[in-house]
Amino acid sequence: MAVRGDVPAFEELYRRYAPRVHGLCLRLTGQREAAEDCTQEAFVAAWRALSRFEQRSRFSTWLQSIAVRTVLARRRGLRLVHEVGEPADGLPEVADPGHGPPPLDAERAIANLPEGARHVLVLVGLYGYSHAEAAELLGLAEGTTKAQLHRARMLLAEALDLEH
Amino acid sequence: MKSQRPSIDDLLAGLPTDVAPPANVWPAIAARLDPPARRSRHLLLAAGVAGAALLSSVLTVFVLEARRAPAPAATVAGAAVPAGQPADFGEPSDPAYVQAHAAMERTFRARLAGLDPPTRAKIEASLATIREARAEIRQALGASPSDPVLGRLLQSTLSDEFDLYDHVVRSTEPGQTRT
Repeated sequence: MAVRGDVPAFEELYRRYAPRVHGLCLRLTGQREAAEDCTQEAFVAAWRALSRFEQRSRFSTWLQSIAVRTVLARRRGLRLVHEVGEPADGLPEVADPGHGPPPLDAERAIANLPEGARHVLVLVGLYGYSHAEAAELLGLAEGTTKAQLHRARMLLAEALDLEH
Repeated sequence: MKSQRPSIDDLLAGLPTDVAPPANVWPAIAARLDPPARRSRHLLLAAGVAGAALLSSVLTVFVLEARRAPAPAATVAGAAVPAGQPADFGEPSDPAYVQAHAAMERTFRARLAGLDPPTRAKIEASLATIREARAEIRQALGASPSDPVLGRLLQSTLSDEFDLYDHVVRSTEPGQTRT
């Protein structure tokens, strides 16, 4: 129904998938306000592209790819603008599982990674994309995503005193 | 012997993939969804108040024409640029455009003043971001005056500003449920 322009049906899709999209945007951007903007842009872009959704992939996969592209496009568009904001501001506070660094420290450490390394770590390490999928979304060679993931893991291990 | 330190994989496995967005995100999205039926209602409302939407259309036409203009052969105002001279990617100077823009901005400002402070602050911040971007693009155009990509980027910021005006004006139309 959402495909036919039914706003309530689209709102249902939003309720179902917004946490995943927002989580992805939050980790990719490392900033709360940017993540909110990207979440909003991604859903508006999805609404406009719904008629072209061919259902060959899962809706969530399609929506997440829109979110990733939205983050990347925003980053390119705002490259000339000095973004302000506390890195990792607004990142989720979850229950400490009892070992390892507090989750908020982990979130901050991820948010403070260099952008390229962060993007790959988030997609591959956290959201389960394959290197091939991440490479396609990020416009990188697969070897580059592997190198960036390695770099991200090294930097995180160093920042949080973890076993690499 | 196995290390006692947790691993990166333990860390990543413990992080949630889902993070609920703030409650104000859906209303902002809903305000931008424009299915045919809803658009018609907007047009009827706009006809009723006979103002902002018409101005918006005028502005949109100008922006679209500016976007369609092949750079750097013509300026966004429609005047031809002599060969060898840098294209003028500045804001259109056509009097009708300037008048429409000023009226649109007045309506936007008036509607903005009626919004609650947090919403107003967010909109002001968005506008400031767009304008900062435009200022920096203009600066970059100073160094590369005929760069068509920068020109298009500049036009895009103009369009973004009008879109922002338009969204605020439309979503605060009298009789419209505020989202």
